[in-house]
Amino acid sequence: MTSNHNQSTEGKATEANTEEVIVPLDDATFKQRLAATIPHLRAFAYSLCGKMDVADDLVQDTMLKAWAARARFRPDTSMRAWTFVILRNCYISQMRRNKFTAPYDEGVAERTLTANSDQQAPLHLEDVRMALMQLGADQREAIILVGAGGFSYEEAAEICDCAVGTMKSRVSRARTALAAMLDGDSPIGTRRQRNSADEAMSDILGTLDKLSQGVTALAA
Amino acid sequence: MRTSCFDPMLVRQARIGHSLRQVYDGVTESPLPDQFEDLLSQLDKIGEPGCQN
Repeated sequence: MTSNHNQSTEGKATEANTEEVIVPLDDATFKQRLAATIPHLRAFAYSLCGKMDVADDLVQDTMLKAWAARARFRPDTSMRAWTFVILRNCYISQMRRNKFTAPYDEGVAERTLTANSDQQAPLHLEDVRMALMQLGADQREAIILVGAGGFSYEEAAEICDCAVGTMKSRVSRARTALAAMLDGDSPIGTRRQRNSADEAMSDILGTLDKLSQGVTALAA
Repeated sequence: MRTSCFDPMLVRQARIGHSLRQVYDGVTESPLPDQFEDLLSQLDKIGEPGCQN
């Protein structure tokens, strides 16, 4: 009885003051686990900002902040989820400072992401990437965390500091929007349209070149 | 004779999900830039824990 009472009291004390019971990882272990999250941090950062070079800067900032705060990391929790929260906060801070002005860097995306592209993939990955970048930031991070990152709705909600129901709603709306865009019911970034326009402009300029050469030849 | 009973919408969603994971994995499986190795090697020289994040 007394023992139970003591345990209960200790439990309440633990809940009331969790800072005191955290036994931090030693630096080497922390660094090892932090290093293991880098690829996931890069994928999440890229999904947020759409520029691989900016994403890498964001991940570096995140790693520095995580390292500085390593005493507060609970070893029994997910390092990936913890660092995603830090990364997201870094991103929001930098967004507020207008560091990210371009939502999508197609050239970098092509170079960075084609390594894993599969010719037999049922959907063109470039179309999926473009459609992803057309989503609002809330929906994009939601679908990436749950649909690609493997987080549960609860974990994703915690990372994004929102209710679980909100997260479910964002994921659902993101899925619907992606399906609509990839089925052609909604515009994706108009890459194909832009390519067609570029080709048309190229044809026009080519014709003008030929005409001007003809005029020059006539003048001579 | 029974044909496929899969809901086309579910199949479509599954394909989108698969492609999303490919996009994500395309980053996670790409080689890390050298800057991260450099940063990891520098971490030990950076201050004591407890700073704000």
